[in-house]
Amino acid sequence: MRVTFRNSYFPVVVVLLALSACGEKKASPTLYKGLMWEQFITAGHDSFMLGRYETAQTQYRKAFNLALLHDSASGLEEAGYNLAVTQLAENRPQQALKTIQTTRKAVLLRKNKPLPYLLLVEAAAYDRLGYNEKAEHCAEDLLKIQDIDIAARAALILGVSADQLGDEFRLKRAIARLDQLKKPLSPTHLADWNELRARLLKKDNPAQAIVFAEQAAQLRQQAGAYRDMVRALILEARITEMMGLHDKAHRLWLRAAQSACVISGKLETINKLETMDTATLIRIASSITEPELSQTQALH
Amino acid sequence: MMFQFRLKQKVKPLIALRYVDEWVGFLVFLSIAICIGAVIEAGVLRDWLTPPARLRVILPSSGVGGLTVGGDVQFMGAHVGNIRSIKINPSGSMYAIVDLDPQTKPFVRRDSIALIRRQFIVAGASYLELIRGHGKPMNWSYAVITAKQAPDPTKEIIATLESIKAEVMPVLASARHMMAQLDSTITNMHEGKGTVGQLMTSDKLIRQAEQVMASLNDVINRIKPIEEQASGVMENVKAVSGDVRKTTPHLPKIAHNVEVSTGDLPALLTQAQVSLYELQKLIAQLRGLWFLGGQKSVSHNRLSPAEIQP
Repeated sequence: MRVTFRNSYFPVVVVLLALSACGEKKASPTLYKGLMWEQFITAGHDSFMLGRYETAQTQYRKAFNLALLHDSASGLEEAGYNLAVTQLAENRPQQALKTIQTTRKAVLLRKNKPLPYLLLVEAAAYDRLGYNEKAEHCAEDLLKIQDIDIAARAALILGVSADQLGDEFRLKRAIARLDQLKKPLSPTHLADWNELRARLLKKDNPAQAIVFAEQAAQLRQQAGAYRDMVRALILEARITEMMGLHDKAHRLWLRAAQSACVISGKLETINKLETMDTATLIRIASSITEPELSQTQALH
Repeated sequence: MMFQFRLKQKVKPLIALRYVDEWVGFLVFLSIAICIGAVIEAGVLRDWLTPPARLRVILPSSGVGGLTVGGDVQFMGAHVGNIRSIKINPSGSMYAIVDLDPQTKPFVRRDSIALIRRQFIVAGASYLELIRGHGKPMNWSYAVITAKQAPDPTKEIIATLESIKAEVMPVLASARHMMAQLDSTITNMHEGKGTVGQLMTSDKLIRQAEQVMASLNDVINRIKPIEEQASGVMENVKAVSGDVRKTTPHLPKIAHNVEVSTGDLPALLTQAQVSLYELQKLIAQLRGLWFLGGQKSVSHNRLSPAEIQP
């Protein structure tokens, strides 16, 4: 039987070539130290993605301490930023603020450089705690940043805070910043834009605002940003309520409250939600975008 | 005169006594000697030669307490002197001058006191009783002590009776109230009020109790098989305990084996952790190889800003 070269040896040659490319590199002590830091960060990311925020915080703290040992400013900034984001995701904005302050001090001690990522988390934490003016101030500084992810998220925080303060000027400014992004927009940025448009139009054109809010909620759902989705559902429910569509608004509140209960781990409340009145549902749904009272008091 | 008379008598006496005068003189001297001896024996001289100790006793402001001049003074139950006089100071206080037997001097000291007592506790003549002192010796050139009225037993008895009355009367009142309550309760019970009353007058509760007892008997009958089963289970447990007892001698060896096995676990876990991380990186690299249709992926150490949700 005749075996052709193409059929029998080609895959072997390809594999050998690929393996030859993976030449052995002697590991140095520094490499091992960096490896440990990266391992903590990766483990933190995996835990964060699975929603295990406590585990993620432990890993990020280890990475932070390791960066202190290495005297690495960038390592400190990245680990501290990740830790603060995780704390915010666990609805602990007060702790996130403390982490930001600690990280900022540690980084500036080693290297004087702007820290836009930390400022972005700070803006979100202030917004969560109800300090909308401070949130506006922090977010507004970030609109000029070239990094579109930071700028877009800063625009969203600015828009949400401005809407809560009734500051239409800054809300429009946030939308304008999103308009400057390169088209076509990513689903996340499109959802941000829809949400802010809904907020802008909710008084003058509520019918159009509902459409924007609904699209924002759908996009958030597709992107897996469920806290943002709950916020969009709350916005849609409020606009629907303003239009007098109470039944639809009640259903939206119920959906938002159910998601909020799962996110905040109040699973025992879910079965009781259907029998609750709208006021209770509003309170439960809104709790996800507001910190616990004890945390707000602690800040004072 | 007598001699002259005798000389003038020229009559011979019927009985001639010789030495009469001498005998009379002897008897006179003998009488005098006996008298002196008696005086010495009676201690009159001693009394004259040893004058009594003079003691001033300041009497209480409430009065002399029945003491009189010539009154008795006792020490440890013995008569040791008399009250010579009772006088009044210009300041208004009274004091008694007491003549004491000098033998009592060592016992009466500066911290001694005198108590005014009555002979039969509540009646009889008053007397002074000296209480022995233990302080510094008395200056007998001007000896002064203070007298107190002895506690009046009648007053103490009255006070005791008063306190008994104060304690007993409320108790009597409570007892009276309690008896009234008891009387009322018993009356109600007789009238059939309350559970006890119903028990006394009605047999309904008794019947219910009988029914309960019957039910209990039924329950106990049902429990008996379970008890038998439980005893069976206990036998099984006993057997298991026996097995465990047999196994126990092997436990140290097992524990040692477990210790040896688990000793390497932390290192093994660390190695596994590092290997997994390396494997993860390798998979990421393989995914990015162009001939496997992958694209070069950039790993970020930071979480995406999209995760920051206001």
